[in-house]
Amino acid sequence: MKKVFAILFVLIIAAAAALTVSAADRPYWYPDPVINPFPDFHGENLPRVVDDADIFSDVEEAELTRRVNALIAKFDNKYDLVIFTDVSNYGVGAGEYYWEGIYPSDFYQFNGYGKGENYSGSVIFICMDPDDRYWWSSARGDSREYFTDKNINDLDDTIEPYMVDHEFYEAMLAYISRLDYIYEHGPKIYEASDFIGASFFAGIIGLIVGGIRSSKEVNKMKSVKYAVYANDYVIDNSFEMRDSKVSFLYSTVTKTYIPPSSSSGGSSHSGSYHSSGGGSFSGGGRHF
Amino acid sequence: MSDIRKCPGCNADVGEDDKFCPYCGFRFDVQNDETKPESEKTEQYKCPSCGAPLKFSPTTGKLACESCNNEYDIGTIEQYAKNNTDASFKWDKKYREALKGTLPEMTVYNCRSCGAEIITDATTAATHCPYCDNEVIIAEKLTGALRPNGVIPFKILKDGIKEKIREFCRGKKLLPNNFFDEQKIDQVQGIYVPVWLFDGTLDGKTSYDATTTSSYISNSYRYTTTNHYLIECDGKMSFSRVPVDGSTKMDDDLMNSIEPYDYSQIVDFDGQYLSGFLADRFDQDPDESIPTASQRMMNSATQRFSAAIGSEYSKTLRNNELKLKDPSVKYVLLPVYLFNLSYKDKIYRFAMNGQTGKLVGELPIDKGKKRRAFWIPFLITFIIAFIIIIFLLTR
Repeated sequence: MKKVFAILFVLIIAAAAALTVSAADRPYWYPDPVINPFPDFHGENLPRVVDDADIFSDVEEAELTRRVNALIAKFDNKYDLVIFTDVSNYGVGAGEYYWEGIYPSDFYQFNGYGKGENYSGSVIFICMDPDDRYWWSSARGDSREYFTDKNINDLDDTIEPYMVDHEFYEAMLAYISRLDYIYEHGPKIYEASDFIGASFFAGIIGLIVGGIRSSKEVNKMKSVKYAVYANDYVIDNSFEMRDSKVSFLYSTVTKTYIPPSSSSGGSSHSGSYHSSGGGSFSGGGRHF
Repeated sequence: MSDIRKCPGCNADVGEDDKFCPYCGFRFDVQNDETKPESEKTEQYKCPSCGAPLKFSPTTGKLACESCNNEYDIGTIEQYAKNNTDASFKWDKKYREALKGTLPEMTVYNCRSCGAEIITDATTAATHCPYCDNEVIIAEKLTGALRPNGVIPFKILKDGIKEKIREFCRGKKLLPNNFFDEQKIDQVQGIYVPVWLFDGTLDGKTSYDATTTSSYISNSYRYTTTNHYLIECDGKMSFSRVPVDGSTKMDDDLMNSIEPYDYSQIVDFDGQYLSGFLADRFDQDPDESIPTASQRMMNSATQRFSAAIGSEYSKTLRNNELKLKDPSVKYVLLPVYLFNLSYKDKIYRFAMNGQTGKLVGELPIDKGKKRRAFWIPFLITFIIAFIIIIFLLTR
């Protein structure tokens, strides 16, 4: 019996270790998977800018902290926000579909960020790994409602010009400003361009359907047709293909440039996923 | 040594049967043939890809293009050079063998208005031309007219034509609301229309230009590869009783639209079948009807050959060498009811198959209903599509 418990214990340890990173590579804040595998608490007096990649100056960090706190206060402490940078994601979440979002989600959860009962808030993570640079927004609790695919795309579009030029401070100022706009105008933001685009495409679809429908009705009124074929007069089983031969002649290759989409740069994706601690997050980001 | 000759291009000894000089590519069958017209003497096979002249490559035994570096089998290029999609194959004069015999004395009415010649038996009087509805005035005796090989007698009575029209209009949403109150059916005339029934087997070769296309994306570019093929088919297909009406007065499309007739019910011609009905006298010889029958047969045959090749290719007919075998024609009279339907000062022409009751014709269209048939689906689709697109955009 003791042997069974021992094997079970080893298996649990192995599974926990597989979900996390090895102790040697773990960042300083990452919880010990054995002692305290998945903590979930409200951290007190946590910094709202954690610049472990050291991409902000002290002055920039102070200003960003001020802006983040102002945003949190503006919306009555309902939505938390933390700017987090690191030199790597330590392979956290490798193999998961939204693996880029697991590490910042773990950071958010294990450090106790979040407001209210459902830890509402978000983290914007900048990974400065030279082999894989990307940014990622990850939201939890009530904030998830605001991190729709469109809003994540808008946030990404807003900061992308700065990120590709490595103007990280300006990028984060723009990010905070856009997030402020999103929280203020609601999860679904309708802009004039959306209505114009939707009207245009709906109009085209309507024209096609209306045209097909009316043509069909007009055709019903005309039963006199020109006879093209004599298929009604083919003698049954009279068709015989004695031989057929396919001869290759030549090939042509055309090369067409596909311009990148104007609404999203780099490789991006967004959706819902779980942190290593089991918290539900929504988010998305792009590589740069 | 009789099988050796000198190449005019390079003076090398080449075989008598060689089409091309293996040393310089000189083409014997065209350039050295004094009997051919000047235009053919200078003919060269053109590259299917770029159109440049092809030259024989002694090393590969193929025709090569120096412009785009493609190479082709000689046999394939010879087939490719044939480009004729004309459907006018020859009909052997023997095809008319079945046409014989003469009608007994008949009465013929000539329409002064449209020139139609209406024949009938001595007991039936034609008062109105079935084609133009004008009064038929001149009546003469007719002897020696070509006797039809057969006739399909009328099976449908014209009394039920109003009910047929109501049935025909069912489900036609663009019909004006007051159509049945205001429409007026003019005189319904039962007429035997002269029709040539063509038989024959199309046998031989067809070829198609065919392509397959594939594409892939790499480094922001889409690469589309189109492979071009020549597909040759050899086979046959037989047709029985392809109809072409022999009257220029009868609208061909109207007549085609009431097809098909059940030809198993054709009976030998007897003048008694004309009693109470009229018959149009053919004014279009079978020779004049051949192009129409040929085109329909050819369209069906090339369509069937194309389908047999497979759907993986996009195909267009390139060359058509189908020959007609065992052609024959018969002359029959087919029963048709013709009538005009007038509605709001406009005449609509209708025809009904006198054997099956199939009714065809163009109906009046209510302009308001036509507009609604477009705008209602447009608006419904627009609203639904708009909501879906907005939802997707703000998701």
